[in-house]
Amino acid sequence: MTAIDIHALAGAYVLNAVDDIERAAFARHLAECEACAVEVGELSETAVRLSDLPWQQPPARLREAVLAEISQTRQVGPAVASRGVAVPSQPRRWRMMAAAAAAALVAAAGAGTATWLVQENRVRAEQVRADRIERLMTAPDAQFRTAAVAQGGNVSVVLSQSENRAMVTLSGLADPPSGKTYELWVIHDDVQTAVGLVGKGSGVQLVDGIADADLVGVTLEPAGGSARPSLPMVSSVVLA
Amino acid sequence: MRSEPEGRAKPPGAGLRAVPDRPGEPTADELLPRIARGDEAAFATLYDLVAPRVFGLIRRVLRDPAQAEEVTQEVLVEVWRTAARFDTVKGSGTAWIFTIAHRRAVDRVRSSQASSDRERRVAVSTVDTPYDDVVEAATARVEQQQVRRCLGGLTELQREAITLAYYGGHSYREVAELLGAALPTIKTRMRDGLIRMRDCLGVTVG
Repeated sequence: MTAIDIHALAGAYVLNAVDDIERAAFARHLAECEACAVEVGELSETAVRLSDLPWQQPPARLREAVLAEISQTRQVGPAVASRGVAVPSQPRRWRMMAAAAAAALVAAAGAGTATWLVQENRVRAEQVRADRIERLMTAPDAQFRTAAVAQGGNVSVVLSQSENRAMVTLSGLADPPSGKTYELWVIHDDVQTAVGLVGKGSGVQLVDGIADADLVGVTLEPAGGSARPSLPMVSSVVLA
Repeated sequence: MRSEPEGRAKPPGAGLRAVPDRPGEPTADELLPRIARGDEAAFATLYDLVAPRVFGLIRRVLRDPAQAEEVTQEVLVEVWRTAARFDTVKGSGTAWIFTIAHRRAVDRVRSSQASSDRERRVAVSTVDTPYDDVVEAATARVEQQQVRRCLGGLTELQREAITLAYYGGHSYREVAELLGAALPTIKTRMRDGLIRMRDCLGVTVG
């Protein structure tokens, strides 16, 4: 998307009149454009005022239902800053830190399989994801691997054969060259499966079905990702 | 579509106002930190404060009253669940709540309707104009009068683009189709219209 296109989306974005892909792209842009963030903040408050007009007393049963449900509903803690999660090299300390950091990142991150964002998410998908991470982190056969990323940053993997799942955390990545993005791969024999794109900074990706995987790889690809990894990889983590 | 509010009987102590203008009554900003610490009574107060406006908005976007109840419940439970994430630095408590509400309503509209339903909704939207429909149902509170006036100060295309999107839950592409306008034009009208509303309402952040 060109710079002109992106800025023009501000109104539609604030009105929720964009699709998920456009929303993701614009949210990514907001993270790197201070002026846009200010404008979106103001236009967002403006759009909220539109909700002043419709007004309808809900049925009494709704009040009962809501109060009943909240009495059974756990609340989340305050948000934790998520950029650049530090990954110490000792596995045990990493697990404790990562459990807290991952919970915060998961709570903030979106559910899309191909996007890495800090944004609001559907409640159920979020809870499922948080549960999966917790089970993974506490699985008796959980293993931890880490590797440096060429030009900066780290990729870490917690994997469990019994959970058949891995959590891949990237942190401290250098900005990709203009027009490029990092892409994550799971490799088994000759089969390379793309599992996510990372713009910059940090992110957490859950990967299912890693039981037979040999390797998690990170490559630099043109923006939007590729069907096959561009070699050489900027990082790889051997799983076997 | 004229929507008569159901059950005009008010709970004791609560007025028709969704946002209190009497000093001494708690605001969303004051209630949310208490709610974040698990204060269910504070949440009940917030419910009485915002539920008619939340339900009104969601009802307007979804039209189906049963779904509107469901989504309203989801939104208010989400407010409870994530109250600790509300950060006064980033805006008002009311704005936070209604941002969640609108997003949920639009997500539900987009996901729950079969494409044939959606086309029918779009066709219906060209007949009943969302702006007039919403304005007629509103009562004469100061905030509402202000929003009505500022919406009235937009060009017709700006107003229609914004109201079709906000109250109709339409994407900008759908709005472009409905209004027979080009995509860049609709994007621009939405943005310019909101900027004009912002200036008219005197909104500043931070």
